Amino acid sequence: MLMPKRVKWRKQQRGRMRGGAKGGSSVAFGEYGLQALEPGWITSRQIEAARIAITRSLGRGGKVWIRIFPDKPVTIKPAETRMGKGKGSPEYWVSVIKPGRIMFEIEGVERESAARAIQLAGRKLPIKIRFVERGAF
Amino acid sequence: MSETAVLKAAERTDAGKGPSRRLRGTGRIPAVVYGPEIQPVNCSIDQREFSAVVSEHGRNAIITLNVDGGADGHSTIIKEVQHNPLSGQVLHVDFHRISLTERLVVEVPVRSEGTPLGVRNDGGILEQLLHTVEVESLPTEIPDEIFFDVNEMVIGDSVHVSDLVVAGQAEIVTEGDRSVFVLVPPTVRQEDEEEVEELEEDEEMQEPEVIERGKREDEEDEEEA
Repeated sequence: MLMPKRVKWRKQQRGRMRGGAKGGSSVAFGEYGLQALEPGWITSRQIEAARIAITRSLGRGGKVWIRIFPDKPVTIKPAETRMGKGKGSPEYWVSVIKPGRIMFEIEGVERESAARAIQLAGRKLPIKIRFVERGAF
Repeated sequence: MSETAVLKAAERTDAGKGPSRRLRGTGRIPAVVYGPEIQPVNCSIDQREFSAVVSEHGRNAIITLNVDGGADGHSTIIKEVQHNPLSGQVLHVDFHRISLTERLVVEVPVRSEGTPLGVRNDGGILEQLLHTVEVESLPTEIPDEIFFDVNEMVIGDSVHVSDLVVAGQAEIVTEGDRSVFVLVPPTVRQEDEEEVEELEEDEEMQEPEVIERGKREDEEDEEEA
């Protein structure tokens, strides 16, 4: 699963997810894309699950790009631990997604196949998404 | 070839975020006209009129912009259109004033025509590496799109910019050795079981290496323990 190879700091603060995506909001590599409509944390497992859903749906054809990377560690305190005694240890990695962000792109397949694959991938994600085409705007 | 359209514009004196938002609320789009021999002019155009012109005449159309009903309008092309990535609403338009007798460089989209032989028979994947090319031509001869017939392509074939043909006096400026289309063999998907195993292997997250701070944090952890 996706995670950074090296990091400068082991733990991060949670932060806020205000506003829309500042970049990566247009289809740049493929012909079709999966666009986020809500903000959220997408875990590396969810990214992997969505990728598998797309590749299985497309079968042998098509090329897939993952436009997001989980570079934010999420920490969790062990169960039945009293409050205090410092921050928990990193458990998993997430990518911070804001509305408008293109998360996956597809090329080399018919529009209908791409749309179906994107919808299936969307089922693996905790946010609302939509299917977009290159040059739609 | 690019067509000519006429668009009415009104000069605007208020610039900035607030006035532009209020303007958009009234159904108009903030725009700017600039180019050689003129000072940039801030103006606004009607959203519906603009959409109609772009859908009817295309993105590379020559637009005669009449600012405040002036008789002699500016001959312009659309240099940039900013959109809201979610709603698709046009936020701002840049018009570049041009001379109809001088050649200019514009980006023209490249499209494939047909289905390659390698896709039909061998299940190959047609990848498009370059979606637009730069074309130098007179404003009146700008092609709307450049089509390339990919019907005869087999796996391993590639189409370069030098293979593209444009009509008239237009000339492609983009480097000729850049690939536009490549027909690659189909991707061989790994077995589902392997994918599942891979997921299970990753069950326990391995921590990445911490740059510089690594040693000190380890020490801190030991102290905490």
